Amino acid sequence: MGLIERLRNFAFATPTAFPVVGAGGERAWNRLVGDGAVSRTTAPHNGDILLLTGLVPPSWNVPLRDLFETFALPRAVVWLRPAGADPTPTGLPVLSLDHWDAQTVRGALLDPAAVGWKALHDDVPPAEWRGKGDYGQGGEGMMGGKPYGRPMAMTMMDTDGLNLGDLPTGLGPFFPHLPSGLHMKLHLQGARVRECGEARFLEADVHPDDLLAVGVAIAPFLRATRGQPMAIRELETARMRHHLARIADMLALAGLEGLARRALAVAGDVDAPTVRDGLSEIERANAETRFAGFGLLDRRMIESAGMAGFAARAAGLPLDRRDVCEAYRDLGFEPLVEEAGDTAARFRLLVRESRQSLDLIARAGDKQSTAAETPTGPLSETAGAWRSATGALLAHLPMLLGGRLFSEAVMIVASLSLSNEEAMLP
Amino acid sequence: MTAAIATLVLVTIGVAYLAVVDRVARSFVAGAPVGLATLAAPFRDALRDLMKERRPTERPDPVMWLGAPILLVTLVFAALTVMPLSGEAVGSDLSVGVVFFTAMFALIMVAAWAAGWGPNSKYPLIAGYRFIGLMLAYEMPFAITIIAVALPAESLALGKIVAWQQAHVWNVILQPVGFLIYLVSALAVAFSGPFALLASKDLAGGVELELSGGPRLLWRFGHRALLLSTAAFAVPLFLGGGAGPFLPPEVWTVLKVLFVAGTLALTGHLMPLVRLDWFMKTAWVVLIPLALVNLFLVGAVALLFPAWFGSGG
Repeated sequence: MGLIERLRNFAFATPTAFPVVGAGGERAWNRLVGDGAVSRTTAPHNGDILLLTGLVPPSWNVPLRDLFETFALPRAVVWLRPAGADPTPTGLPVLSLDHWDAQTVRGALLDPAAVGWKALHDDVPPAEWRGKGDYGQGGEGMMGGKPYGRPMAMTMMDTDGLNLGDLPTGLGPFFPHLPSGLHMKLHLQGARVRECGEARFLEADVHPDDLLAVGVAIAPFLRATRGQPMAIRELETARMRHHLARIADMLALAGLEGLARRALAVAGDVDAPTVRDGLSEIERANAETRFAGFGLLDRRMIESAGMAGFAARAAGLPLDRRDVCEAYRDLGFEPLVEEAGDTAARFRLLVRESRQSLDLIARAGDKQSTAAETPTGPLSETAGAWRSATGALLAHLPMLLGGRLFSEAVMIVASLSLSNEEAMLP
Repeated sequence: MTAAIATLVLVTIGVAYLAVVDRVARSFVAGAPVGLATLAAPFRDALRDLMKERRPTERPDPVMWLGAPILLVTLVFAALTVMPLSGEAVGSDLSVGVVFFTAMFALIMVAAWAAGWGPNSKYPLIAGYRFIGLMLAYEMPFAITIIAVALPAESLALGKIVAWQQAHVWNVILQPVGFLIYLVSALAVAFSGPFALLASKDLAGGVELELSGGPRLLWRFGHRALLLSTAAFAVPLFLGGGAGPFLPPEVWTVLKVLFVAGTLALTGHLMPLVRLDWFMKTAWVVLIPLALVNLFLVGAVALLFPAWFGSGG
């Protein structure tokens, strides 16, 4: 082995991954980060691996290809394929693996003959740049629209009464620390979101049986919705893992990367003392100060929209289907609530509910329940049409994000505990 | 020439030290084992950056984009030319050394803005002007505390400020509030710790989003060198320069710099990022008035006890 090759092996021993987490892929990703097998990047330019985990719906293929095209060489796409996942993402040079194999990944990453090294697009601009157009577009006095395929900013009054450029832009579908597949249309004025036009997940429409086949995180809740009694231990373990992953996202957005990694590590572990210690560390870090005072979804808004679940509890409404389940009541379950209804209240509730889940797991024994309350909220099915709390929250996102600073808008979305698995249901 | 090479070597060692401290702290907070791999990680990252392709964006401003890391590194090294390791070991003991290095740090803003503007990409751009928005809020207390430090020595030369402390009392004892304000604003100047808003995750990496390859390595080197240098100036300003028993003054200076820089680097793992509105309000309502009170108190003491003040007493 030559010196260059040795240095290359050393440099890429722990590849930097940009994750795209599909249905049922969160646990695999948490384990990889928790174990330190990969390090995470939020910048595709700086990524070595586009790491796909779980079931990837076909509608993600084109945006995934565009995303991968921004990766600098050396690069590779690795799909950690859950058993029963089909089809393989197309349009990408995917290395499909059943389990993480560092040597195989490094081999694919460092082989210049690998397909991942070749450009997927021709390196040409999406539209020809012709400078100032016949009607002044592209030059002085920008008039909005999309001259030559590029959106142009049009000045509009901002909240301080100043005329400021208004930039129509998109956020997602693979924005770091937000659920993969979530896409929003925004108008930015400086660092502020003037308006959020639309918030939705990319179309997926996956049959619930296909989701169950790949072992999605919401699988126990899906089964409970269908009337199948599920072990409370299993339901609460899934809830705690989901909450810890959301806590990790929020901590990372608040700049506490080490603590975020700790939350992910204990999420993969589910060993009571370890999780308790981790949660205590998180509480001591006082991260909630970063989230206080914005993203208010108060009691009145929740009631008028007929919402229930996690966001409702964070606004002081004890709406939880577990409350009416006899098995949960036998365990002394009472819904936890926070009063403020803002992003900080949701963060606190995530931590408290994780601890509550731990207690329930310890005391549940072999008790079973059919309470269809996912970590986000109630889940129901009527004649093949599914209604989830994620869907209800998405409808309120534009109202929540309008007027907020961009960084706050991202934290608000992360705090709502949205689930792309729920959004994939028909 | 020798001084330049020595500065380059010392800064490179300091940057490596900060990178290792950062990794170890992150692993410690994450509850992960700290081993040889943790210590090697920063060197692995640097090598990886060197081996990565440099990706362009669509229609960047190449002068600004590539110029930003070069300007950042240049400003840091320029500032360090007036940093005294001891009475003799100093690149240039300017009579206005204090003014010179604060001017260099004020120009960091230009590099930060260029890094945001250069790639023609929205998240770096937002990160760039977010940083500019903070500037007055941290530059004012930074400058005022430094004036208060120069006052007892009646000089703007760092050598004389150190000499006055060695003859009388360290400024950290005379002006503990000023020292704390300096550390907070030094973190902000170096966009590090709770002020790491220039490359934060809420903007998908901010100005580092579009960087790859050599320019990324240079930017990150410059960033750590900046934190090292803002920490370094705390030593002649507040900690008596090279004063200390048994060891040569140069060694004492280096040890003090590593301690202050390491402490500042740890804050990023223990405290969340500050909120822009909160910091601006706190800076204008608390930090700047406190820095002024500190300055007035030192001024009052200077008027009341003139014999005690002045260079070397």
